[in-house]
Amino acid sequence: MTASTTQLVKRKPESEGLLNEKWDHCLANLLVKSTLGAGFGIIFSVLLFRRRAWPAWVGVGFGAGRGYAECDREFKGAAGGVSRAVGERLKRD
Amino acid sequence: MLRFSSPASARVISPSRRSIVSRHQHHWLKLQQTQHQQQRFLANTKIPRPSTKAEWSIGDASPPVLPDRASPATPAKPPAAAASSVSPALKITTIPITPSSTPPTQIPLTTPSPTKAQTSPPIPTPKVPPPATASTGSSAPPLPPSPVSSPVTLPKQPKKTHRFRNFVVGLAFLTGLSFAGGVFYSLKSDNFHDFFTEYIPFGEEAVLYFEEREFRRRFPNALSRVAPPPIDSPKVVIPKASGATWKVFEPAGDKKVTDVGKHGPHISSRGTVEQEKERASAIDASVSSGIGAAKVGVVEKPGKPKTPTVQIALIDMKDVEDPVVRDLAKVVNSIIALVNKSESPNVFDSVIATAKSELSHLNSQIASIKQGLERTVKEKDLEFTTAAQGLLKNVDNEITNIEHKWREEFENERDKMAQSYREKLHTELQRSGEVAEHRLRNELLEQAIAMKKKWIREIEGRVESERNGRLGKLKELSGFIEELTKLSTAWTDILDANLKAQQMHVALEAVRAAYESPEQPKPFLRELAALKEVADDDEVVRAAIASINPLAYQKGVSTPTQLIDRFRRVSDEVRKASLLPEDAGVAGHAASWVLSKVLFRKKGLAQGDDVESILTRTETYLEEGDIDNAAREMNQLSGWARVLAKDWLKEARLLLEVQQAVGVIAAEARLQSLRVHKP
Repeated sequence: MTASTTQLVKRKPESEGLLNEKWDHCLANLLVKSTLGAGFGIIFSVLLFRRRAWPAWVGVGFGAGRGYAECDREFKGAAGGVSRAVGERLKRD
Repeated sequence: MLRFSSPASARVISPSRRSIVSRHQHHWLKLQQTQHQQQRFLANTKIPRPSTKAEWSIGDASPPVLPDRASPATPAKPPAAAASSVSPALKITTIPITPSSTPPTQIPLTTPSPTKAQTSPPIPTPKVPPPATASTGSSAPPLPPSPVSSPVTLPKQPKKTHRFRNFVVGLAFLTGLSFAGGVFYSLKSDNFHDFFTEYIPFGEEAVLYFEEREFRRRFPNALSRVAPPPIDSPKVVIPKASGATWKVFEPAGDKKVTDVGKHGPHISSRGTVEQEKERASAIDASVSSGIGAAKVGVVEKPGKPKTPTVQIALIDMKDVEDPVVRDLAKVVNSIIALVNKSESPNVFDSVIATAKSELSHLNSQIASIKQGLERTVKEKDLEFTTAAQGLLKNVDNEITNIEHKWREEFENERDKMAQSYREKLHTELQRSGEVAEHRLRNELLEQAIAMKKKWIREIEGRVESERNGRLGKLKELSGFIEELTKLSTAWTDILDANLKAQQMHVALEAVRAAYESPEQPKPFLRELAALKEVADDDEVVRAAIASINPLAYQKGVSTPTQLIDRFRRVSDEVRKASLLPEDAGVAGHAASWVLSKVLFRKKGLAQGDDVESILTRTETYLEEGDIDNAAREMNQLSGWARVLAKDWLKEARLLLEVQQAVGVIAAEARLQSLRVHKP
């Protein structure tokens, strides 16, 4: 009986864990994206820019920026699904 | 000649190759010339050229002949087989060889006189076929010289006597002989037979005749079967007028011959009167003649015995009874009359006397026979009558016997019938008696029933009359008893209701124990079902159960302690998101998380609508055990905080629902138990 409930719990995450999960996702995404960007930057620096450091940093920046944007979007839409503008309009009505 | 012939042959071979042809022509010409030379040489040397020459000569017949006449004769000669093939030219060629090997130089001499040479060969060829000569080897050799000798001997001409006659005779003889030979051979050989009958005039007839003769000799009776010779038997001629006819007899003398040419009804309708008259007269004549004849017969018959002669007495006809004898006597009498008429009746006296005596004897004999016959007839008659009488008697006896028998049988049958009818009648009587008895019994029963009813009515009447007495008291007693039973039933109802209430209480307790037990979550579906069953058709209970979320009793609800435990976790999370602005991004979240750590904690029932104060209030309520209020506080949250607390709220609500429903049901049960005491 308990096993089945735990399974149920596992299947459907508890509401209090929602934010934490999102944070996990975001961080992982950020890490992956920034590493990818760094990798591209290093390759470019090796191939085109005679092993300069700045292309690698630029790549990291691009990757991190991309991850951040995605995270932001996720957090913004998740709470009530209602943006500020829409909320205001609803209040007026 | 050579020039003309050669191109033709060349053209035949191949018309297209001109150059080759011309060359070939040239070559061929040369060859021919050489051959001619050779031929000439051969002719001179008289050596027979073999088949090559012969073939060549056949290939184009005319060219080689021209140079000199000797050449064709010599080459054709050598093949012995060629003799079999029929050709006049070859025939000639053989001749010079066989009689004498005359040098070829001599032959040219004979040829200039061609008339004989040409005329003579054609004659023997059709008449004398070469196979015949070959087969009749012995006869052939002497024959050829005769026609051939003529050309040979022609040039000599020493004697002219009977030359033509000899020739004709020889020819005839030869043809006859060859024909005979041909016929003979055709009888032997089928092939030759065909040839002979086909090409030789009169050959078929001759051969046929011989064949026929042979056939007749071998099978003398063969043809008799095919056509049997006519048998010489006397002819039987049936005259035309024989047999019976419908025609009225007409004497042959006046045979009526109708003249068609005469004027009559068949020509025109006029002048028929004459015809009629004529015909009528003819008929009259015939009739009169017939009648006349009859009259004559009639007259003569009585006449004859009435004219007795003087000399010879007529036969007395009185005692003659037999008609045959009478006729005979008549005949004799007529003869006697004739004799009497004649000159010398005495001559026949003796004869007539004997005749008379014979006649009388005959008469007497016939009479005796008749008597004998009559006697036998009478005897037979008697016999038959007796036999008939015996038979009749027998028949009568039989009839009487049968009659007796039948009568007896009839009597028996009648008796039997009577008996059977009597039996039937008896049974019928019995049955009718039974039926009548039954009816009577029924009637009796009916009467008995009627009497019983009457009696009962009387008794009832009496009982009614006595009811006011003892029976009235009894009625009172029964009424008491009825009241008692009613009371008892009412009490049983109350007892039942009590029992039900009790059961409900028990079931309720079971449900409460199930959802309040510390081993949660645990479904209490069975307990609830039992409660529903016990509550039967209580509207309130049913409504209360329906208000519970199915999830609650399917999965169970968490206990208050579990809720408090979970609230601690939830409150931490909610606090993290407590400072979030609306529509916050990553930065907002991060800020809220960081800043939430440094917030001061409140205590007790804090005032304010912010997240922190709500959480504090909830916590306090929970500590007090007021889940209902705690849930109400949590419900005030909004945004991310509400989202995070959603699950906890749901759980709390489930528990609250169940608690409410159970409370309602408990109240109801209590009400019921209270209601029981009323009646």
